[in-house]
Amino acid sequence: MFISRILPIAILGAGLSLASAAQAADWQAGASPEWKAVLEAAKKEGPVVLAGQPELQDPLSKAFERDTGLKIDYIAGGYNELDARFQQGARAGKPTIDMYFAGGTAVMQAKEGILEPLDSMLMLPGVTDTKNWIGGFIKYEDNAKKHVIIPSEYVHGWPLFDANKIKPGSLTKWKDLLKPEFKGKIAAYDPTVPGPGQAVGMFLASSFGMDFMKQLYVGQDVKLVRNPRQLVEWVARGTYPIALAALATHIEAFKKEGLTNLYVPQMEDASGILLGGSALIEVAKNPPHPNAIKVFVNWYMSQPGQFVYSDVWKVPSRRLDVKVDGIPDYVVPKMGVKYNEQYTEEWYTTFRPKYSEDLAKLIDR
Amino acid sequence: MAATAGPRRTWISRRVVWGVLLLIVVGIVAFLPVLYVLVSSFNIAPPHLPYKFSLDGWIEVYSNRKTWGSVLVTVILAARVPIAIVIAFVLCWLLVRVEIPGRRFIEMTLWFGFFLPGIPMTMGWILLLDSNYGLLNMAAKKLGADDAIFSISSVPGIMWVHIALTTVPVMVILLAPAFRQFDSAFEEAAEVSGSGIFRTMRRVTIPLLAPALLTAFVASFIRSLETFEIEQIVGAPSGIYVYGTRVYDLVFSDPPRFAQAMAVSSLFLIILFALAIPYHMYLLRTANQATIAGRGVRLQSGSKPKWVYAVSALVILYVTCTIILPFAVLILGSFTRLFGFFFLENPWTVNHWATVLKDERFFNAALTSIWLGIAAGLIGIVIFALLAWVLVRTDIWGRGLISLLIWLPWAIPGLVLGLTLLSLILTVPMFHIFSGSMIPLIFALVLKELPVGVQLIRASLNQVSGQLEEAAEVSGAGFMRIFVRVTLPLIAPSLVAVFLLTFAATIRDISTIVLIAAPGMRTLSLVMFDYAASGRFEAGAVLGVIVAAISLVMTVIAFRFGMKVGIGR
Repeated sequence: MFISRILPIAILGAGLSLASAAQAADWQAGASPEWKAVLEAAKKEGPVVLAGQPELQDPLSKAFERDTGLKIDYIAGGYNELDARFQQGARAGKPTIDMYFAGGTAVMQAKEGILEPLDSMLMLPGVTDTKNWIGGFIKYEDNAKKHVIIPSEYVHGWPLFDANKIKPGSLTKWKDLLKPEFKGKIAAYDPTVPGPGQAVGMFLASSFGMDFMKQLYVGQDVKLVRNPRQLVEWVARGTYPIALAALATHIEAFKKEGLTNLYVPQMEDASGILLGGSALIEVAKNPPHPNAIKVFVNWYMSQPGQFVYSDVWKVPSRRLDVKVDGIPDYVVPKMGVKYNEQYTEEWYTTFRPKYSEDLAKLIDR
Repeated sequence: MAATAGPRRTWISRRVVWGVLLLIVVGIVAFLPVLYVLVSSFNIAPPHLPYKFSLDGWIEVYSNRKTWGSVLVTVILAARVPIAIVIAFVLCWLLVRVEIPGRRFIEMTLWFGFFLPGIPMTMGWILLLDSNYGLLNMAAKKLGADDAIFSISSVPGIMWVHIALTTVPVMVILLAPAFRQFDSAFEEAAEVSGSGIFRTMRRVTIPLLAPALLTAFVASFIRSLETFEIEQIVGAPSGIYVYGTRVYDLVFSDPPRFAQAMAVSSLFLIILFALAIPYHMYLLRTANQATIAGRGVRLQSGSKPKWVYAVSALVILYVTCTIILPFAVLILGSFTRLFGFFFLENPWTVNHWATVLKDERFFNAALTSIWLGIAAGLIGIVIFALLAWVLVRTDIWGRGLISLLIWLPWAIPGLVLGLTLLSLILTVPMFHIFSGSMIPLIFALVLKELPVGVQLIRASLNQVSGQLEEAAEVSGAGFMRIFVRVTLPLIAPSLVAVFLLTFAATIRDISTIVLIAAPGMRTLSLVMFDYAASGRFEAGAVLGVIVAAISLVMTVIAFRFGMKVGIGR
């Protein structure tokens, strides 16, 4: 009885441990003695404190502990609350959060001088070897290429249609949305607040001008929401046949449950936006766990860390050795296509403030 | 009582010293966050730059029609308060005075309703009343209606959700103890003198309960002005913005407009004092209006007329429709593959339950919520009872000012209070030691409940004649013995109610604590908020049902204990 039940479990457990150890060994291959010292010091510091979207919490915590033996204390929440909280602590010079999974605004905090440089934190050969990254380089958002790394990129900005009401191939240009028959038929994520709606609003403003934006958002009486799932739900139920700034993660979740009317077209007159999502990492200056955060940053930038991120959000990593099933084709950047690239210092310092102000005036908040 | 007795001369210096000390403590605790808000409203510098004084924030925000539009909608939505007070008064009268059949079930359901988490219950109402896919509208269409009968994304729709979920239940909770402490001999005397039910109610019941009614009205009215979550979910898609959503928009706009947000919050201060000052003056005028004296409270009993059963059925139907029906829809929703998509080929699953129960955060959050609720509730009633006792039973210097300062925590919306506390913890060295602990959370939650807690106990103490305490004093009892053995038992129903209100606030609160909860210290409501924010409504619904189950247990325990002190009798 004991042997028949316990022995196979023990063997399986031992096998899994060996597999984990092998994987752990892979991502740390060629690590220096300095790395091992950091790892040992990290074990004495206690859990590394991360903040980010709730979806990442479980898979990230489990994989990180599996590979390093270290624990994560994760503060999950929305962008707005986490942004405010992380920045307040970092600005006061008393951060309680080591690292925050940020969006493109991270570059502004880098310019403000409240972030630790990341380039000097990268220690593992598997991370620093540029052959492992698309284009042969690690991409940074800041011009100094020190503080804000973009480890993952995807295409955003396409509309979502109800295939029962808009036949695939019948609406292929953004400007077609101005047709009278679509008045009152479009829902969108609010472009005046940080998030997916703002990225799309600015993309359309930069591609077609503010006059087009006025005709679309005001003239077509677009219904604005603050919850990205609501957009997908409305299209799935047929409440609104067109949604702007829906997220792939929700679209795919609905499709998986059998909603067959959801359809993402490729528009001919503008290609979309290249974004880094919330893959960017902000490490506050003087983090509470300086060694543990170094371990996390290196792990996250290596194959297992990027695999978790890519698998949770179903977006491609910039690492060439990360292959995840189920990433929809419409989010994968295509070679040779010129996208509206918003995760750059120029975008955040020059274009974004202007579009933000123009959109706020247009929507009248 | 003890404090007022004795030679006046010996008291003058002590009452001034105690008054000044208490004024300083209450002033610091209640006024500091307000001061921070006022000072910040004139700072137009970005968060990382030094303070820059300007009136621009005030000018910009008050010259924007959106601000005034949101204030107008807020005031219109606050009309639910007078509606709810009439419903709650009638309900309390039926439950306590008429003792309608099923009263324990009805009162428990109302308590349960108050405990229920706002976001998932709102989702339940959306499933019932949405004009496109609401189950009740679909049923109406099947029965021949041309168009949707109900629309939740409208001012009446939002008002209904508030009345059903919070306003009426909380008013019953606030008023029922006052009804119970009320010596029914007053009403019986009127009836014996030939007065009918309505005349007795108009000439005896309402005037004697006026302090409690006014407390319930003022408290609910002020709270109604800062509601936020229901409006954000239901109102925003239809362009219905209120004061709370306006503040949220300004705080989280890009770039954040803190000065404007703080300037809008300051308007609330004016509204608050416009209500609190007359209320306070009225309380001072009616301070000696005791309704409990040494004779004790007489309980009514005997056979009931037939109409009582019909009324009971109506009230049970009301609580069923307003609380049990949306809760049942929420339970159903938690078992759907996609929340509310009942029409899928195979719509049911237990996967979301498995996901939540396996989520490591769940048990930690449940424990945190329960401990935090108990800690805030117990600490709260001790502080509230002592403050109320000082205001009612002593004549210390500065009582009027202390009484007004106690309202201040309601002058700031929960989100702004959280932001203020976070800034104070991070920037004031002496507060930094509290960073990462549970103390800021308990402080914020107790502070947020301070006005209602003190006023409710105060109204209750006002109903208790000082003769009872004086009798104990004459018999040789000291202050602590009188306070613990005489005063507190006499106001026990209110103490239990205040404890449960604070506990419920802890279970439900999101906006006040979202920014200050330390790493690893998430409450169930915050985890639920995380799920909702990331669009995982199904998991949010599961957690909503679990919070409701905890609430049900708390309600039962409260009733068991409350039975001994008068609740649910």
